[in-house]
Amino acid sequence: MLWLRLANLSKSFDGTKVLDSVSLRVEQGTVLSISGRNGSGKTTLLRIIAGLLRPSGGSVECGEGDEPPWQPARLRRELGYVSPDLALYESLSARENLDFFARVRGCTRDPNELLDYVGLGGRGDEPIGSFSSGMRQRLKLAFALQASPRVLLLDEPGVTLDEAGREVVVRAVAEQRPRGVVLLASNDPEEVALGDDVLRLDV
Amino acid sequence: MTFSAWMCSAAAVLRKDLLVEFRTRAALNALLLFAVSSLVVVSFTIGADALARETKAAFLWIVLFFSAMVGLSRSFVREEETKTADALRLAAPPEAVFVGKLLANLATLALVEVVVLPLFFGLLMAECRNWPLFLLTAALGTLGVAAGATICAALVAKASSGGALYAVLCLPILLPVLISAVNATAAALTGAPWAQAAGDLRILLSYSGIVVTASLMLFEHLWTA
Repeated sequence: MLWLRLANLSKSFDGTKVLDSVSLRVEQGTVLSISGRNGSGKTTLLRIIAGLLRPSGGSVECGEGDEPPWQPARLRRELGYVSPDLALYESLSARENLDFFARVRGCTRDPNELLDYVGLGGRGDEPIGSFSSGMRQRLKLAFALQASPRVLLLDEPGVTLDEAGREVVVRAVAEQRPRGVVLLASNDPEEVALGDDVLRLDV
Repeated sequence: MTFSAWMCSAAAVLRKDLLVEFRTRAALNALLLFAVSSLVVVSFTIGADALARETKAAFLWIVLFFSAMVGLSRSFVREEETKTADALRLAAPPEAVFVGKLLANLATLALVEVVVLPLFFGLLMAECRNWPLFLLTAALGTLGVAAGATICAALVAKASSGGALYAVLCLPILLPVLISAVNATAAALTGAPWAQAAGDLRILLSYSGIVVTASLMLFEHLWTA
């Protein structure tokens, strides 16, 4: 049984406290929505869990059953992350991007299958510099799902997506649920409703 | 992660960097423009005959050093500027990123040398009297410059004025390799015996080994949060 625990997580930027002693524990099968006004720390929280930002205080631990918590490198391997701040290589095609990340991750999931899954099946050979923002968002989702992650972090996953793209997000969250945990940061009521519980960061 | 999987990751980073560079030519154009224009200007203004062999050797490595300064900082700065660094951090083992980028920088510098060295011998009328020593010095010096320049690029990538910091940081770090490379190149041009350049070759080899080893140990702390 997978678990993810945040203990007294705090983060300050130049003396401004963005996160103040956030503690929670989620277990396998949980979808936790995170909401809050702009600047409340949703993205900061997910970036800290992803290991992209160092907390000012507190800790992030993830593990399975009674085993000791995973090392950061193991957590990174088991993690999928989508964010508006994340970008892929503009001069490479969608397939080349996924092929590159598959090679560096050492995973064997077929890029074509992923492109079909996110609805970019016919556009795989186009450089993503020519993609619309919605198509880029779909590709980021494919990037996040590529290594079949146990911990899926979605920051505003539906932003810029059309109706079909939002259905891909709903399907991905549903399929991820039995495999691990999902943390979904959003202020969109439809996306927040995907969660079993809601963590509000501005109260 | 097994060693072979780690090597595959490094090879993927190398291949990606070369592919992106081939399509954008951002670094290569800047490197070549600087190197070729410097050689042409010096050969037509000062003249090849006015330069001693030692001066020619120093000039060759000054051109290669500043070419590296112009182009190689892009390897990490570009990842931060285009916001692809986070995706790379999430997907690739840190040491594989460093090795992949080091090899890509090495390949870029080698490509520049393929253009610059014939121009150096042609425009400056340089005559080499010990080709094996010259080629060994070029190989070891290039490895040293690429290794130092790559870790410096990683150091300045997150700084707001990374470009200006890069040359300032690189100069003291690359000074030992530049001095030894100039001495060994001068020995090759004057036809000095191998024994005269042995000390400099040892420094070049040791420098590359130390910088690459230290970089592999430190890079994770620079690269991750």
